[in-house]
Amino acid sequence: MKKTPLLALEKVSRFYHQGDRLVVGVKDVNWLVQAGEFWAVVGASGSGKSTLLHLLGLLDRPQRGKIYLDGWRVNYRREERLAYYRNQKLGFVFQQFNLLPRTSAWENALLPVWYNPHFGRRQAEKRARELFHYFGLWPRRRHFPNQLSGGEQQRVALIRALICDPRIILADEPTGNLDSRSGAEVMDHLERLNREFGKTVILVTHNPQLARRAEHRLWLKDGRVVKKE
Amino acid sequence: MKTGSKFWALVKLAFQQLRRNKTRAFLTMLGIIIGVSSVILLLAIGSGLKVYIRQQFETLGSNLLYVMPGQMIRKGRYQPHGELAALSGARFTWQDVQQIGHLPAVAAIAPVVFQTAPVSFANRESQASLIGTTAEMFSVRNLKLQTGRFFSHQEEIGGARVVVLGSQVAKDLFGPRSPLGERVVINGSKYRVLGVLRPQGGLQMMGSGLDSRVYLPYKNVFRMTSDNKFPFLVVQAVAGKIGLAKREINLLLGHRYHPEDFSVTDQAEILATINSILGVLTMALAGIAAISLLVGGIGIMNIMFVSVSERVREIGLRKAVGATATDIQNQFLLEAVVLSLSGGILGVILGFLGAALLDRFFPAQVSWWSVLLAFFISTVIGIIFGVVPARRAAKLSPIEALRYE
Repeated sequence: MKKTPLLALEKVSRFYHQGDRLVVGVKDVNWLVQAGEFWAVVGASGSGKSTLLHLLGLLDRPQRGKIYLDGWRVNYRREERLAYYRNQKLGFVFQQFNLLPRTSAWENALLPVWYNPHFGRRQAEKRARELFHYFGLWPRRRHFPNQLSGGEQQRVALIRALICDPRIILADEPTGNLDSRSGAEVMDHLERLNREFGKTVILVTHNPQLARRAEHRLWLKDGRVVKKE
Repeated sequence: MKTGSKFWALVKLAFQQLRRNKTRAFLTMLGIIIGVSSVILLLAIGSGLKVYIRQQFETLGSNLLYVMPGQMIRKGRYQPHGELAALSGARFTWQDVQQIGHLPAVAAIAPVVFQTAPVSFANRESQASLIGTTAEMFSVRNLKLQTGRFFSHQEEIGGARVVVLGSQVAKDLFGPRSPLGERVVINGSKYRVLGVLRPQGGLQMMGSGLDSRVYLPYKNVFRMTSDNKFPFLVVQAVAGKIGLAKREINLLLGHRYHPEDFSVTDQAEILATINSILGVLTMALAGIAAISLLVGGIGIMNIMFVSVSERVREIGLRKAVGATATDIQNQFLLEAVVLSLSGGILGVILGFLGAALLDRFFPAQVSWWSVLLAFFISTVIGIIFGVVPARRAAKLSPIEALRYE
């Protein structure tokens, strides 16, 4: 029996209105992602990778085409449902970390738990404890983001992405704001999440060298897929 | 998180947010604090005054009826323009007084003729209300003496030039000295002081208070005014016969005067009238104070808009990790309510302190329902003025919000 892909895109297109002009975000993207794969979406700025990331992250809806997540067609689902999927199935890692200021690393990491109807606070804290130990941040859990280095902040963001145990990690230029050593560290973590924990990782980057560390690559140019490998 | 625990977590979050911007939160709350405390205070003054007036009435004596010209008070309600009717209404003659005094249900009657005049002694002067009356007045009104005696029946009939001073007048004219036997000057004539009344307290304003009264035989006041009539009669009914006395007086006077030109009122009716006037006054004042609550609400709306635009990224992030529009809306709405309700609580505390302070000089009592009302109103204000900013926050697109610098 053929395995259901975790993520499937069929002829997905998204346009934007810019004044009177219609600008292509992405056009006719076909893509299958199986559970446990490590993909890099590569392209220059303006190639449509942010648009694609927003579509994958269920933050945006395509005008044409179909998106399936875990076999569910998500296009026309209600906003509440999409929010639930984001909470349960997706973990975001951003270039600017996007941690809440004046909020401890610990509270930042637990943020998605607020919106998780299946998780009690105690259960979540147990999991957070394990993750903070795993990422070597346990002693720094009470620190505020401005007291943490860039690498540390990105690891807090990783914990936040993992706290609700999602199947997919969406990483948008996660090393973009980091020095090369912290960047390499974050990439190591992403790889380990993929290999050891079986997470499906989708890395969005403009850097082909970084993309080489992923097992598959999707090359984008002007909103179209130019190459899959 | 379950809905219940999420609510408390949101409340906690809202308080954290307030603590982060203490000055701003306080300034925002100030409008609500001032509004709530002034509403509480004004309502406290209103109900304090009611209690005070009732107590004053209880000291005046019991079983009393008041016969007045016109229909200033009817069925416990103040009549608009009644005071004009009172001016043109009936004046009662000595004959009326005597006949009412002989009615079976009437125990005693004290007619009154008023005049305001300065009372002087040596080079001192005091503004006073002259009460021209009969010797019955002292027992009917249950007046108490501090020193000396009241004037007698003989003195009343003879129109003797004697006076009983209210305590304030005595103090103004004689200071600590005893005024007994001294002669005060009223309207150019000399009057011997027979006694001084015990202080009765109450509001003293420009010679209109109870303690600024001067009692003297009515004939003296008749000499000052041209018509020899009484505008006001105080009647003491036989115990338990107050209704009967009222009917008898109405019947008697009904033969002589047009029914619109006089009225017989008991204390309960007067009290009810004063209460209804006070109630309207209190509500009007509290309503004016409530306008500042509106201003406070607008302040909250304003600061919530600021808060939303400051936290666009946070909103975007929360949405990305699974918050629905409703979640975001509730978060900001709750923040507005916490802000406004905290202001309400501080306002209630301030109102209490203000009322306690004021109560030393002026009757003021905070009623529990005004506190409940304050909490309710400040919650409602939080919701009304928080909902627009909260909806704006909820509608933010997560993509735009995350891109926002």
